[in-house]
Amino acid sequence: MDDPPEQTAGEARLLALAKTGDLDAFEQLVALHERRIFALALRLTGSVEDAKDATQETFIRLHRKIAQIDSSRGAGPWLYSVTVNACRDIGRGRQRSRLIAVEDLASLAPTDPVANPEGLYADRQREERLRSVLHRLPEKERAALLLREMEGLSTGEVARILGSSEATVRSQICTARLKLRKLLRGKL
Amino acid sequence: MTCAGFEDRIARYVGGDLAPEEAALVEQHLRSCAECAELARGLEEDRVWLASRPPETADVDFAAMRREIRREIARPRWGWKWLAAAAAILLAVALTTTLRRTPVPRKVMAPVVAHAVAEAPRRPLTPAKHAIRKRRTPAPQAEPDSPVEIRIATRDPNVTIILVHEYKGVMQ
Repeated sequence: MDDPPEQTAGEARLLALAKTGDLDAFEQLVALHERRIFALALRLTGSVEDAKDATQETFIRLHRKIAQIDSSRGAGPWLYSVTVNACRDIGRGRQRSRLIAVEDLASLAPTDPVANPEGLYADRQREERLRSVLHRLPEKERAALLLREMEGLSTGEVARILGSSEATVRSQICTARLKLRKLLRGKL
Repeated sequence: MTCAGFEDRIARYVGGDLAPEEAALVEQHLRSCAECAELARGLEEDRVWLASRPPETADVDFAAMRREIRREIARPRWGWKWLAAAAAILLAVALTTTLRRTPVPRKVMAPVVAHAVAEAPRRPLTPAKHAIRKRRTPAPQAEPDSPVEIRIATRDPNVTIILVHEYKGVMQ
């Protein structure tokens, strides 16, 4: 999660402005993180609608707690942590199947579609399969794996975000990788 | 079938979570074990896929989402401070109502002194007789519906028996 220096500086400036109540700066801050947060929420929840709800909730909480954000670290780690919690809350609240709705899948399209339609189809199928098996992983293992692999965070950062020890997170990620592989091969 | 005991290490190796010397051991094993090598390849594929394909969607209207967030944060919230204030007001109202309903203070009657008989009675008492002799006092006059409290002092100054009775009507 190494952002370019100019982005970090820009984010620190936006955070400082947003802390003074500047809503335009806050909106720019949201725009800076929204896709990444939505993507994480989508893989955590497996549903576009749930991911939208979790993303909104995350940024509303950011606005409430913005004074607590360390401008030098940026909002990223805090946002990941809140996203994981928001997705967990939504999951518990809905009490329904975590499998992706067919209409949700139909609406998914990569932001930068490749020219090869066969490749795109294969990618979609793979994405669909991946997300459906991700939801068979326990919640904590899924979150740890996604933060590590998808967001490229270090084990220490993931541990801080999830409020666990590094050893626990390392074990969760390792177990999740193996389970995911077995699920993808239909062996679980 | 992969080699038992190597699965975990392979999963950690793929994620770069092993110390160099342990990673070297795994690499050595992977060169000699086709099953484990296949597992390592599969794990690496999954890792690359997860890392390289953020599932963003072109159809999600992020601008609309931002507008919704802005609407939400502009809406006044009933935070805990407001709830605490509301609870304090409710408590004050409840207390006021309760205090207004409190009845007039109970009338405390003059104590009725009782002496325990245990101390050398002049004549023996039969078991059926009451163990305590009371000095009769004039019947207290109480207001209708007001409770009457009767205190019976014993020889022990630390022990007082208190009887509370509510009369309906005037005491005779």
